[in-house]
Amino acid sequence: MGEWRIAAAVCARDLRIELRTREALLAMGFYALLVMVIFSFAFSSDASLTLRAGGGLLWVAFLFASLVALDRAFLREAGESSLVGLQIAPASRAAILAGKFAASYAIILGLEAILMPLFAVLFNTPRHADWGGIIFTALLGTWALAANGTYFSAMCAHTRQRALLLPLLLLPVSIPAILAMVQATQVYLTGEGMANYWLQLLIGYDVIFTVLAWALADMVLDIE
Amino acid sequence: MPLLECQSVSRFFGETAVLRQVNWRCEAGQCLALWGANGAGKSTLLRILAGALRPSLGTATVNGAAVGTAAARRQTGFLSHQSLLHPHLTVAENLRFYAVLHQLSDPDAAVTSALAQVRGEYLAARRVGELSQGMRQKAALARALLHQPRLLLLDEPFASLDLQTVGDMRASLQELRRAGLAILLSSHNRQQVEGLLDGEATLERGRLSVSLPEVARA
Repeated sequence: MGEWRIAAAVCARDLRIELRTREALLAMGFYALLVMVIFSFAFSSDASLTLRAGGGLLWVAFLFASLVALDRAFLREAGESSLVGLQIAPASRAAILAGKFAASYAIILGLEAILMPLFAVLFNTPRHADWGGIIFTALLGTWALAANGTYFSAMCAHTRQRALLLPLLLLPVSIPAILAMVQATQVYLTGEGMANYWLQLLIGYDVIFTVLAWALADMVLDIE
Repeated sequence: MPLLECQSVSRFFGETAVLRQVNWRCEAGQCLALWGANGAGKSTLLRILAGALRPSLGTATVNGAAVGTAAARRQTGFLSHQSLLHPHLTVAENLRFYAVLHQLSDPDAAVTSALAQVRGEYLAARRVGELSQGMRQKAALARALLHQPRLLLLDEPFASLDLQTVGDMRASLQELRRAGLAILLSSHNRQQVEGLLDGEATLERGRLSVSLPEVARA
């Protein structure tokens, strides 16, 4: 019970800070919007190409936006060394990491909720697209990115090349999840093929990497 | 059993030895000062005792619990050069958050009590980023006292403070000492801590070179 209370407090605090500063939300929104608008210019004349590449386009925008949010997860603690405050508190490291994960997950999902309708308009998605399936895929895919990303963000918190190191660590590990997100989204956009296999892969990936991050939390948030 | 005990504590950064074989002891209700030039190792020693840094060699205990363990952290309050408070949150929001991290049963009561202890009730609704250095230091002291620690570690608590705030901080420390808290502080200014101390030691190139009075001697 105590661990859930700590995780909830960390999550609520991070969301409150983000709502006050809007640092991650503005940067994420700008990146994602830029990607979508530029691709919409390139694909506007070819509706069939949009249909074939839609899943990839959507997840390129979400992925860039997620990197910004995940980088902020621990950068938020840099001022006044509040990370040291977290480290010297007698609180479970796993609970602190879980709170950070929940805040990042909520922030990324919030942005995705705004971007999805925009994607539908800019790319003229087909009427038969299964948006329930796309939203479910986004929930699972964003979980994968947020779980791994929060862990690596904590790992990079004390490094000078944090902004470079985070994508270098996160993206290779996330390749199976990214593949599954893109393919499942593609199936739901076009209505062709079966998404079950990709969703099972995503669920398995989420379970494994969430448990790993939970179990190894002490290693990344430990003192020097 | 002493409240704080360091036995042969050494700390290396790469090949540089910042602390060498430090032995120190502090009893409940004592206020001890740690002197030393910049880079002598004062902050490193206090960070080790607070559980923010690991000793390379040796052991340190707080009331029998090894520093860095949850049991030692629950009994230790740490005031560092930085407030450890988030600038975009109010003082009360920051303190309430730390109260939850310390798993205190009534976080709101703990916040009110800690702010009253440092005479800082008026700071509760102010955002940390908008506070002066002195106000921030008071808020940070309230954070360090929130969980009613038995050992208080203060790293240059009077640095950059005006005379009025130094007076307020000294009064708070006197009260805490009378209440039985062990206080270990580092400072450069002997005048500011005059009348507060039960003992002192000097760190020089990582060695605790000056003996303490008998009561505090290891």
